[in-house]
Amino acid sequence: MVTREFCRWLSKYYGERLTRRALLTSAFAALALAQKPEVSPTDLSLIDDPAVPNELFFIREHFPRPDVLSSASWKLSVTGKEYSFDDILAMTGKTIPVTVECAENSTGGGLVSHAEWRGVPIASLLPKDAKPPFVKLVSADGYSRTVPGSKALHPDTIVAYSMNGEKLPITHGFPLRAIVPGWYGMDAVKWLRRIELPENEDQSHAYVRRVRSFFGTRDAEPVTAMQVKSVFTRPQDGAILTKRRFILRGMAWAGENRIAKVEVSVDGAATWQTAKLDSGPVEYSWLPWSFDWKIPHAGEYTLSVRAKDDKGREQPQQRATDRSDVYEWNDWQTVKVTAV
Amino acid sequence: MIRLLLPLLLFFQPESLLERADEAFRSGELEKAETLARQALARDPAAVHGHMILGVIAAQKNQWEVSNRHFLAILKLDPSNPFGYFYLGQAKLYQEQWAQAVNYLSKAMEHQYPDRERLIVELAMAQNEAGNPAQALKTLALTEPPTDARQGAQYFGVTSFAQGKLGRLPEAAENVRRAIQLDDSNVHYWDFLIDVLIKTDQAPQALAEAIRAQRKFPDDADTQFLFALASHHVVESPLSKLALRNLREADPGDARVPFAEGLLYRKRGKTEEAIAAFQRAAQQGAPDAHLLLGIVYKENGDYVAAEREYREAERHNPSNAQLMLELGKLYFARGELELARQRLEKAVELAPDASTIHYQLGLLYRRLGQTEKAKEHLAKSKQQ
Repeated sequence: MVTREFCRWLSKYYGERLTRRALLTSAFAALALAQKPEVSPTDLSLIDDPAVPNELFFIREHFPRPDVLSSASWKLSVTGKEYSFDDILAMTGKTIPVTVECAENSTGGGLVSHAEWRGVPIASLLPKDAKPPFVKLVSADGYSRTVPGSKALHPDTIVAYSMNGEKLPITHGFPLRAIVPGWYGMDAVKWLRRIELPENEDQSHAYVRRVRSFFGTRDAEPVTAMQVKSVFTRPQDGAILTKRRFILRGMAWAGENRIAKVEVSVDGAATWQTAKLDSGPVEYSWLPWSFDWKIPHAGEYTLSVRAKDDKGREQPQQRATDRSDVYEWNDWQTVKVTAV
Repeated sequence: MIRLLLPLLLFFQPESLLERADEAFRSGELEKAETLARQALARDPAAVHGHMILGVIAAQKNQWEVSNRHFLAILKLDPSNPFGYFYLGQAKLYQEQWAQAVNYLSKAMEHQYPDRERLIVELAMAQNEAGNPAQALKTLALTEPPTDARQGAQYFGVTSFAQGKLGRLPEAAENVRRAIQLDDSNVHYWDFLIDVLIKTDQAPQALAEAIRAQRKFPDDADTQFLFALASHHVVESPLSKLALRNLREADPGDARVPFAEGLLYRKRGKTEEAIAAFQRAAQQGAPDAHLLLGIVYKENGDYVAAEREYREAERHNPSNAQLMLELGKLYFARGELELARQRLEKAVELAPDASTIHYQLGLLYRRLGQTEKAKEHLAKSKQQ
């Protein structure tokens, strides 16, 4: 509607056709992508508000996406009891802003986004006296995760049906998915089909730290809550700046904790200055930070960012050298820019 | 003793002074080079190379009067010196004195300036800017694309700019993409590509390129404005607010800031706020703000205000095909058929490939009873 009848400085403007074409292209692209697991990071330079538009939210799939055409026939089985989609909608819901990060997200990587999720607590789907040691979340795509009962039954851990006020897109788990606030995204199981209460942890899709030592490599603790981390959204690596002032921007998050401080360096990590936190720190949520950088002169600059949380955790300068797994990358981010 | 004699010997040898000046210049010691070149000229006012060094240093400092004086001195001393013509031509390019640049660079060509590839690209650039894109393309055809990446990028860049001026937009887009592949650090190539893609109805592609460009040039106001414009043209794009913020941070005083605000409000269906923003943009002299005001007024049924704004836009820029189309449609809707015909004919002259204009002309001529003309335009509208 907007494109139609709108000028584009020349006179050719077939708005409707353009829009249809764009939509068709997206539809065909979605079909093609459905054949294999999709991994699409969010372009961090496009982050403005904390909530990332659904179209830009990162996608990380483990198996080919299941065909889900309608919520009408969807059933969520919880220890044998079946809930329809409408049953879930009819329950008392809650909305929680949660940042989700893939455990494999690299330093400065875009496998992280934030949305307002609405759903019902997993605890509300279980008998009131249930105190399971573990809760297993099973997806329609064959993926599953076992979460400790204490976390799964936390009132903020939900079965979500809405994302940023809209129904879940298919790429984000339509019609139902788990949201485990403050924990890495592998536990936020999409296309949720079944909830089980096993006695033991299922290791089939395990995420554990692997540590190298003199005696070889061994599995260490499981990967669970998110580490403290910060990124630049502006500028990105390789940017060319033409003015002598630029507002550095970014995001910082700390999983179940709150961000306490963000610092930036504009001289290759020689000195650090405190960035402004643009909103109050909240658990589960990333927050925007900014820093008004007066660029002294033309040249190459190395910018770095690091954060601390309210429990004293700090981003390390470098990843622990004994880690051999691919999870929890939270060392300082560095970008190089040129001022001309 | 030798240590005492050597400087004295050099002091009395202008050639040596010039060699040292040249060496200092090449190693970036400009002050030293300038001093030595002045000393050389003091001893031999006919030392062409001294004028060359001083002229180039002055040009680097944007001291055009000084650089012109030295370059003209070279030509006076040695009228066949291709370097004098080339540097003078380059200085004129930087000063945006296109006709003079063409003149001097052409003479550099006549006098066999050795770096022919570079000369050809610079001459074509001057010709294109001087309003002769066809000649620029002929000049570029005298050489193959240079193998050096930056010069190659310039070659394709100038080619695309000239093709753009000639209305050959698909070719222009192809060539500016080649330029970007060779040198992605030139913001003008990116801005031109995005603009061409918008003009050729490739809004999703324009937005994709604008996203890449805004990442590369986060404080360039032109890039951020094009990002806002491309985002506005893609209905599904949620990036208009971000683009506005980026533009505001790049240049808060830019007249296109209220314009981009208007685009954002319009996208959100907030008509009153959009009108207020476009009015502010118009007051600040943003190009096309009156056109946008006219479009918004017309969408809301206020044809009187729409015509007023279109006429104002016409006063500022009578060569905008979009504007002529809008005015033509407005007059057609009001039954003022001759006025409609004038504007639509002007529109099709400005944008001969635009199917929408041919369609409107077809309808108009049918109403005027000129069946053959109507058929002709309606057929063309289907061909596009």
